[in-house]
Amino acid sequence: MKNLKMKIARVENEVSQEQLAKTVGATRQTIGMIEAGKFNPSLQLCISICRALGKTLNDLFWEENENEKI
Amino acid sequence: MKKFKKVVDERQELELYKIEHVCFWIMFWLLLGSIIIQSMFLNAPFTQWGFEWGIFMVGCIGVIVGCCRKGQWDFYSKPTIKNYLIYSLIGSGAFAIIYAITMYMNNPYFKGNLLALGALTAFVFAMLFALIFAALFITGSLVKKRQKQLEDEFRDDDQD
Repeated sequence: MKNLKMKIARVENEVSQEQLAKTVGATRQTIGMIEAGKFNPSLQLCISICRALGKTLNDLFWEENENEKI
Repeated sequence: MKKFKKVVDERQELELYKIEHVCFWIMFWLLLGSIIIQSMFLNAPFTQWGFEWGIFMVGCIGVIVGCCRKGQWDFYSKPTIKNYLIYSLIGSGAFAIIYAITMYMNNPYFKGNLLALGALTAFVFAMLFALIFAALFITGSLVKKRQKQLEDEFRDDDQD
């Protein structure tokens, strides 16, 4: 399940995957995989991403219903 | 103070663990196979496969001690009597079959006396079954005890 909310927030902040990765202490591949829904990050990494993008966990990682595509 | 700073992120760390996990089990089964072939099929002296056996035992003991300390048992089962019985049956059964084959191949006496071979195999099977069951029972009990200790250590005192 792709995390489009995170991708949109990143683009809105004009931050590249590389820059976000550097800010949160991850690799670009990891950020790419989170956005592509191929890797479930830890809560700690989720919080770091939210802080870097000025969003809350709800904004980026919460699904209103189980079937919703983020 | 940590001497070595990790340069991998959490995803890379998980992937490295997975790779090491797979490679450990490949090495485990290949080493066990090598020891069985050398000791039982080829009748090689202990000096030839003793080092491998020693390394294998260090690995096994390391896993057992690690699991007992952390209160872990297995990916796919829980430490119950039923599972001890199943694993004991599989382990002793597999070894008994290999034992019977090697005894038949290497010992001329058993080629003409299958009844004796059957009786000996049954005896080995029973002894090994009891041994494996006892080992699983003891380690399983230790793991369960440790799990209880860890549960109590992180227990929320407000909830009673």
